[in-house]
Amino acid sequence: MIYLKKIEVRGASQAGNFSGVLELAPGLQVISAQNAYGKSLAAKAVTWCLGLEPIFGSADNDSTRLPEAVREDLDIGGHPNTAVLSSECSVTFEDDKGRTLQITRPIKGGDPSYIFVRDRDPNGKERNSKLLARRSTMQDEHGGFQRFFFNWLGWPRVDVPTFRQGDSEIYLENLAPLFYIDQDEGWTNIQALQVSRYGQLEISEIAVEYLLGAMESLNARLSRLRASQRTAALKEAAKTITEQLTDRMLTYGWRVDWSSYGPLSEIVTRWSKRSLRDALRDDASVDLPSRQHGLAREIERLRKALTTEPIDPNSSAAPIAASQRAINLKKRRHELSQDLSTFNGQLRETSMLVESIEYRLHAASDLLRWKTSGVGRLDSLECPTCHRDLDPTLFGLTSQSPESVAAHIEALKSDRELVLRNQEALSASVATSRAEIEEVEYELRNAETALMTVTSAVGSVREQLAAIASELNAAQRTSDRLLQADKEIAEFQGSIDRWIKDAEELAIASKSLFDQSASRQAFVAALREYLIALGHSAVDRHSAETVSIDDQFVPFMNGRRLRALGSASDQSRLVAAYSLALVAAAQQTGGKHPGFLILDEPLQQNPDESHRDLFLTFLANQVAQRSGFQTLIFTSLSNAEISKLRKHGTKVITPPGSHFLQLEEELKPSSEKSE
Amino acid sequence: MSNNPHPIEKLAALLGGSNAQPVIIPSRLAPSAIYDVDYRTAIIALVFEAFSKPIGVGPERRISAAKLKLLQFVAIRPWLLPAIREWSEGLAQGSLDLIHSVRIRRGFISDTAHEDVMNVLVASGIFVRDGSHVVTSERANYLHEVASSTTQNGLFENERKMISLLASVRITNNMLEGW
Repeated sequence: MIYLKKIEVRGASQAGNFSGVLELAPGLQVISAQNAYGKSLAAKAVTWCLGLEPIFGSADNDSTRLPEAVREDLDIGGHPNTAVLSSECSVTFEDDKGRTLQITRPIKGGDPSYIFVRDRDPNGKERNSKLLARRSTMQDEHGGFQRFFFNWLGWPRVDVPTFRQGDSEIYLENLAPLFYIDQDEGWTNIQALQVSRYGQLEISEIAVEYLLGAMESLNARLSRLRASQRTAALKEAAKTITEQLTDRMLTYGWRVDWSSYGPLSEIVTRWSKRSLRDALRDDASVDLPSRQHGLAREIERLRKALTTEPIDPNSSAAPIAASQRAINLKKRRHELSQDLSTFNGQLRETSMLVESIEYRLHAASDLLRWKTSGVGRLDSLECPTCHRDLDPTLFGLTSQSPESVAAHIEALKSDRELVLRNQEALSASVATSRAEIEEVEYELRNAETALMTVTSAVGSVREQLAAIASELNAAQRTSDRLLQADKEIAEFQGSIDRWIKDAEELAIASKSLFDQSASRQAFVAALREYLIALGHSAVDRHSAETVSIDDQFVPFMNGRRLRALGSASDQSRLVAAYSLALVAAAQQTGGKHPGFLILDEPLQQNPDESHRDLFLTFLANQVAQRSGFQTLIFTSLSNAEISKLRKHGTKVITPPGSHFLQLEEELKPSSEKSE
Repeated sequence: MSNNPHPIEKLAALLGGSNAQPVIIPSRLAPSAIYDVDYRTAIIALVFEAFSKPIGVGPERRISAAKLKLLQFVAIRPWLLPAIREWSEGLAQGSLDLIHSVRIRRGFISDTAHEDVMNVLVASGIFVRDGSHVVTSERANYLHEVASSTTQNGLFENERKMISLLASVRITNNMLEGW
């Protein structure tokens, strides 16, 4: 763990060079100064040096969240509105091995996209680096600041899945909201400054697990997230296979019941139970091997008939048979066209019905919302003469209860399901009919060609030979189509088998259990302790045992979210307790927490006296003081409050002067005036 | 009306004397939202807000009762929009009105809910009947509150969209005659 050793802001103005320095030590420290002194400048200097502007919603290298005193002009040494010519800030960290790290970043007059780092080992050996503050900060192996800082801290780099399907690393700005509580926004909620725009899934939970060092738990979470992404991808793949397969089979006029509905396990079971060839045989009565075998025999027979079998010179059956075949196929085409017309009509009606149900469902849902929220509704209608409530039933109307409307919504949803299934079945029937018509038209073209050939032949022998040759030709083409279909079915079966294998592997990988690690328990214990110590009004020694955290690290008590319990001022106590408990638990379990916590203006969150008293009592008590990590509290205390805290052994720093920044000729070492 | 037993109660009484064991699915007994007085009042308020016209300089507004009935009827049945549009345009061409008007009119025969809601609104002093028109009464603000509140809260968006589409359909006197 590290601690913040020094915060320094310096620059040049028209009135001369200025600077402000805050020397810090490990443990609890309260930095007290009057309002507008520049405490928040010191606190925000830490975030600027660490390149954390994204937590404020600012663009990379945008320093506008820093006070104007370091960007535009300042009142200094009796010179009002003095223009700032240049400025920069530095922070110095020291770790428990004696290594120090000074980080400097320009604010004005320099390039804020670079951070200057001076790294000194315990033997005094120094290394200076110029690193990129934001661009490729984690990816650039040699030039990225965060890459360097994570290495210096010994923190692992972790890829987190995003909702955009790719991965994104955990950045410092994802962790900082847990150890830097900002004056303006930080107190509104736990991790109020968490950056969500990178799209990392469950980043708030992952940030807590990372700082706690609960890496097994974190890895299990990441595996689960990846599994759910993979599940979605497999579902999509199953849908694509089904659509392509159904469409392709329909072009042959074969309708197969091959669906991608339900969870993965159900699809795996269904698809493994029978092969595509079995499905074709059961659903479409298509036994490909048997058909191919039959067709091969027919081709053999026709070849023999054409080449070696005797021909009856007196038979006139050939043109009659060819003509009859064409007539039969035309009749069949007509029947199929009628079917298609009927199916299309039914499909149109069903689509309108779906639209109507959707509309009614929307109306009923809005009505339910209206009835339950009561917005804009008068509770009753009354007679203007006798002022009695008018009962709608007197007018043949019903005023339905919310329960009744909810029941109607359920009925509509159920109807919608049924109608949608019907719509789907009709769509499939339309597709099948179209495919069958195409098939019949193909056969009809063959039959008409054969008829033309037979009728143009002279003599009965030639007629018969022409008929046999046409039949042979048609059989050969059909055989080629069946071979093509057979090849396609084999390819589809291959895709299906690969999909089943992937889904089964995923199911095995997803069975890894979520780890309930010791660090989680340590965190809950510390949270209970800090909630009591900070005086959360809903938590006392007895009820604290019921405080727990869920899988998302949200604190609960007696089954209710802790955020919803207690008074309004308990919100800031909860945020303070949460962040303190996190660093305490990380320290206990060897987590990745940096080891310092900045609480900017915790007393300004609620103006009432009791809130102030409770917080001061906390600062004076053992729980706050015995911590082995660094807690920096920036606030404004009265002289009496400072005396009281110092009496109890709490370290209070009162920086000198009327402002943190002073002209250098006026500046005296802060250590002389502090404490 | 309230003295008549509910059809389900009648059925229960009939089944009570036999050995039948009826299974009741509550969702199937729930009436459609289209017959709910609150829903119909909200739609009337939205249609009235969009199509009524002021009378003189006072706050009162009025609308043809038949026009109100026709517009609210279509507002909750969007699939009738093409029909009413064709009807309106067919009238301009002379002879096509009979085909289209029948499709709209047949719905009115069984839809008495609108008249019932209008009776409630008249009885509660929100509307006053004035010949073939309805005029706002002393509680006229009620309709405005309902309309603005549903709009502000994003309720009945489909119906409001339909009402705005109906503004482009010309409702002629011919269309309002005979019912």
